[in-house]
Amino acid sequence: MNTATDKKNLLDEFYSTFNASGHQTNPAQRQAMEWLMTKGLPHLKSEEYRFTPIVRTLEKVFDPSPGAIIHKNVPDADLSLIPRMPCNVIAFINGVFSRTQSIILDDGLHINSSDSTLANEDDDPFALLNHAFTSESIHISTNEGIAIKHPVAIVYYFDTTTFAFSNPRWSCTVGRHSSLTLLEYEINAGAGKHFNNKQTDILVAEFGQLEYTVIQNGLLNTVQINNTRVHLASSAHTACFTFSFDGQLVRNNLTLILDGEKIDAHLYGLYMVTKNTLVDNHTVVDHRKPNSFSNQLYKGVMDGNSRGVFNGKIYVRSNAQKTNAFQSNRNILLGDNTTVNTKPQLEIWADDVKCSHGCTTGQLDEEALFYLQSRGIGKDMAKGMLLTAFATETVASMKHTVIKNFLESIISTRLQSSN
Amino acid sequence: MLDITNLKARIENKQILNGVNLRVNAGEVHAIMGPNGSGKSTLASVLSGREEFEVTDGSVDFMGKDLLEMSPEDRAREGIFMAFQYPVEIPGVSTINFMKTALNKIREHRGLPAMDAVAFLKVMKEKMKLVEIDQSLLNRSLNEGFSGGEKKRNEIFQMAMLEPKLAILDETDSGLDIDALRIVANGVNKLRRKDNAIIVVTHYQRLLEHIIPDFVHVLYQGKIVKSGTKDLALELEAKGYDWIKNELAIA
Repeated sequence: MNTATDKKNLLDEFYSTFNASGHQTNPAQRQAMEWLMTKGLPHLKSEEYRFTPIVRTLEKVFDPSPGAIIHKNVPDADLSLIPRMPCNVIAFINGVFSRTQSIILDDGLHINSSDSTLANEDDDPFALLNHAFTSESIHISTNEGIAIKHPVAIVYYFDTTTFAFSNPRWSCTVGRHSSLTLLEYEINAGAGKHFNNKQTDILVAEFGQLEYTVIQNGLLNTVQINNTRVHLASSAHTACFTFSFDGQLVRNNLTLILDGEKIDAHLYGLYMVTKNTLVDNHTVVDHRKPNSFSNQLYKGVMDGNSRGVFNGKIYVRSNAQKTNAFQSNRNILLGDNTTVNTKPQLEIWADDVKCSHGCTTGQLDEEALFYLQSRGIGKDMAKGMLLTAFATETVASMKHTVIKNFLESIISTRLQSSN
Repeated sequence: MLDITNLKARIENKQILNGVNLRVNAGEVHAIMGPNGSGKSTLASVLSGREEFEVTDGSVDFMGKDLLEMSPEDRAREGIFMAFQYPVEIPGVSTINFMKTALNKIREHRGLPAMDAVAFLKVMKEKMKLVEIDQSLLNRSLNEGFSGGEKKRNEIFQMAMLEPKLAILDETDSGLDIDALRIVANGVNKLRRKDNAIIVVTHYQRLLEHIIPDFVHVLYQGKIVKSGTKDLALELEAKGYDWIKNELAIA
């Protein structure tokens, strides 16, 4: 990655904010900040951020002297996204973990917090930024051999009038032979803009099962960066779903490390955005051992002036023979001012593997549209039917039916017309 | 029912229809035949409202209304149905949901109440028998992975469900083996009534052995150059189209 600093010195603003914050007294945080100062922030020539002007966007919204973080009590109902779905809750209020607002319903599920740091010198600059500004790491874990009944909701609740700079960090361990459903989302109750720079590390142990859904909706004019790494052990099964419906700029870095055999990994993404929203999904699927399977399906429905970026890396290491790794990115551009930049990147060192990738970007299929119209279905309704069918494929294999139904209803409400 | 007068149409800059005249009355079956590139499918497309064709002259009156002014969906709601030569595969939309939506849109247009799920299933099961189509096929995504024969049977199933006043079968026989052809033709025959009409667009006579037309028209260079009874189709089968071309050249 290139390391040139930015003209307007957002980095300096981060640095002075850091020095004024009290975080500078913690050696681990200080180390992360120093690494970041050396590394610099990405700019448009940085390969990993070519299409995503993240620094420019942050310069516009970042306030180096934000209001004090307000710790407030929020009614439990205000933290829930899906009505009448009981959840374990991990609550971050205005960027800070709140133990009192968090709820544990299920036996065998544990929440701990520690001052552990997970940063490495060669981490993404925003991962380093997260570690510089947050010392507390929340750790979610399960016992072995247990199916956690209710989903664990990771909630970022914002209610500020001024700019908020938030660096939440959590990790999760799904025990051997255990299963867990994670649901992550933001709730925005205030009018203040914010930059939510999240860092997550997940481990799914042998025979563990994880269904992890991220819903990015109601983000308003916020900037969100999600750095998420998932380590999978042998025979683990995981499905990660990322749904992006709005926001100013959303960057999702999702890395799956398949460090075992007979792993089953699925990545689904849907970005369905309008206005000036930019959604950037960078995935890495790293096959390190033989006999595992991965499949990625990312879809975009772009309207207004929205932009999409998909970069999908697949690594198949030399001893990861008999790997099956597939990737597909499909986009429909509804507006004339929409763009999608898509780039598959397959790096394969093993010789006995099955890998494929494909991407398409285009308009709605006119022939399919005409076919529906020719049976009496109005043009707008026909478009809605086709788009809904296109978009809901990303949720089709979700096992948690309540979350699935909720997403299907967001998708169809957004896309369907009765005319 | 349908009055086509001096219809001319082109796609991009290519003139394809050069003044078609055709009158179809309720209760009639008309076959439109002709060599490749004569404009048969264009005529079907113009009648069903495909936007890529531009009508440059002429008129089409359907039950007293100007058909050419209508959107494709309004044509369908007024009672036009086209069985596609190449039915489209639509992943994620099941035939059943699609048909229920379409049928209720057409009923709404005709001032009828929406059909509920129970009534719809009952009608559907009756119509399935007509074309010997299995429900498991209809539960699947529309035409996705269907064989050629299954797609064409699905077209006729849809025709049965929507009960059009005028059905246009565009090369419905193409790609069908003899058994599928018989099933499709039987389905169509059962749907023939005094108050509806059918236009069969076909290149070959073999479909007309099963769906017996009242009139046969030959379309050539964008015009109907010869009309007759079903015997004309037999004559074309025996002699090919060259004798018509020669006749025209002499005239």
